[in-house]
Amino acid sequence: MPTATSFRLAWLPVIGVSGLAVAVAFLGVAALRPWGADMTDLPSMTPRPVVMSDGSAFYAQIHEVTTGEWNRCADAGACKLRLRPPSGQTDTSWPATGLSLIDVTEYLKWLNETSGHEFRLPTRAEWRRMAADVLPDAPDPIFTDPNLTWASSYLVEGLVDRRLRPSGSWSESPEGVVDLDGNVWEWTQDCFRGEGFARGARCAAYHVGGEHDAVIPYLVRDPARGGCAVGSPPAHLGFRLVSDDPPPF
Amino acid sequence: MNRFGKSIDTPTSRRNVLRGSVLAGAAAVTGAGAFAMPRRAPLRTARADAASAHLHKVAEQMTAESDAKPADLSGYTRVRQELVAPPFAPEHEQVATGGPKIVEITMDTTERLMMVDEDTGASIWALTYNGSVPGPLIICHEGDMVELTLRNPADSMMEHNIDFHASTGALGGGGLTHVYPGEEVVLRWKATKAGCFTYHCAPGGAMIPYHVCHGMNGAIMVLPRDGLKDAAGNPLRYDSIAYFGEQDYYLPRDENGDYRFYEAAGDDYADSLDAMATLVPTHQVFNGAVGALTGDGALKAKVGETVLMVHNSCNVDSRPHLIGGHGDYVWETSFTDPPLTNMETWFVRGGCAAAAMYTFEQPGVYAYVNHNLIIAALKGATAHFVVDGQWNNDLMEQVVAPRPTEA
Repeated sequence: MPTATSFRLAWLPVIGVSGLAVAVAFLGVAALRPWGADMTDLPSMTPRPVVMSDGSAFYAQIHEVTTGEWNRCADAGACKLRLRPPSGQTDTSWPATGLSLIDVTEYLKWLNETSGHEFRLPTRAEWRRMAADVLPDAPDPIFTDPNLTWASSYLVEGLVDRRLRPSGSWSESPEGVVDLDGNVWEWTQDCFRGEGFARGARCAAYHVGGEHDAVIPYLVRDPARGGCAVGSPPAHLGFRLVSDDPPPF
Repeated sequence: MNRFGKSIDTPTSRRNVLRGSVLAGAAAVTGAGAFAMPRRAPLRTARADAASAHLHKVAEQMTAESDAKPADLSGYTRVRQELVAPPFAPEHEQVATGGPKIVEITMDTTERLMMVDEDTGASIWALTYNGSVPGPLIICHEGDMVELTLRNPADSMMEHNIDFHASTGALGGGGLTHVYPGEEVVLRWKATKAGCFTYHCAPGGAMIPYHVCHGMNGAIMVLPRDGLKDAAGNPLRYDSIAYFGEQDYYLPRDENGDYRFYEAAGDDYADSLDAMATLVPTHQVFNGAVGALTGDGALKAKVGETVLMVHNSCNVDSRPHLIGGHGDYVWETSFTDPPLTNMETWFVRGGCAAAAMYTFEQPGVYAYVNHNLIIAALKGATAHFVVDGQWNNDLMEQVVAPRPTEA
């Protein structure tokens, strides 16, 4: 397997927080909303940090971003997609799914600009650390020959039910992060690369976090089951944010 | 004897009842309370029970009124074939032993709510033979007779029948097999043509595509008595059968684009006709649902094993392709014509079933798709084989793993 190589996306419009915005945030002056920032848009983060093995720590959004949260970005005209909860549901606390990495980037840019905070997608390593206690054990590969690595992770059992469920329907991690398992896979910021990739090459596909490893082209909103895609594609694509700063904001 | 006399004299002929049920269905959909259930009067059920109880008698009576000679059943041996759910095939002989058989089978016309796509929750009140989409694979040999008992459960909403493309006469048996809820019928027909053939429900008019596009179709394979052969007459044998039914669904959507849910079979009738009239399926899947034959439903094989892939496509054209493999021998039409060989992609005419034989030479995962890849990837027509065995570097090898390039 290629090693996971983590780096921050060149094209992810990270997150040019202006000095003024930082100042406003630090002062905590909610009344000063120079760009119409609405602090109700801020995601709910775990009070406790998730600590990595090297001692670094980050704070994770408790739920995946919901359709209700997403649509505030759509209302602001910053997210092109408008989402609906599944058919027949009116509650908006369903995970926002059907999102490409481009869509997710729109949301991230909007949220950081309006809130003055710096949220980001987790790295693959951070995602795995968050989810370590709630994920099922990885099954043994069904093929071991090097020429069959492309097929070795094919799952013939233990596949999760694909029907979307409301936020909070799955497990909760020790840090209080919910729904890391289940049938929504979450975008990470880590590019999928082989060993020794050429620096500066474009990134065509990213790791997504979920019940099994998956790599998804950045354009894909719905990883269809079919054709040459012989792996076990994720059922739904959504995301959650992390922050290096502790709450409350 | 006036051949029309009976239908004029009889107030509830099959045809009249059929028309009545179509109208009742449409009226119910449009919300006419007068047609609330039960749609058929109890009298109807009583008649059905009476008819079922005296099937044998009814058959005798028809024989007495006919000029036709009775069938000569001497020399036939009765055997019972237990049908199994797709993608599997019933127990059978590849080469017939002994004389011709009367192959007895039973099918129930079951109406059941089925999930078409878990991701969206799209579902359908499927109209089925024996509860599966496609209906079960039937296998016999050329010269055998098939004797079908077709039973319509009492709690069905609709009438059903069956048209065997492999049979001769009476609209493929459709004219002799109309059964209403609580009725059964027995049809016997002789398999005179060797090949794979579709069968389907055909109650009449718009009900024909309605039933077919709700899953009510399947295949029968009529093998040559001495088995399958190549063009030179050498025998061809298989280790297993994989039976695919390609099903086009036209599921109605609401104003948001979400798939509608219906409380009972038939409630979707008017909406379905509108959706079908677009000729654009919302789903086109193997074996009833998106992903039915992938993941935990994937087919299994081993290197060196020969699989006969029987593909039924009752309504739409299909062009199956085994990604990473081939069709070593393909019978698109009959088994009496020599098979096509070494095919990359073959053709299943809509209203047809076809067979392709392949011996796996390499382990891994194979995707069996409709190679209209939009249909395969976006509409659902994908199945997987997981094949065990030893990798063969002569056939293929990754010489250099992906590495940086200056290109």
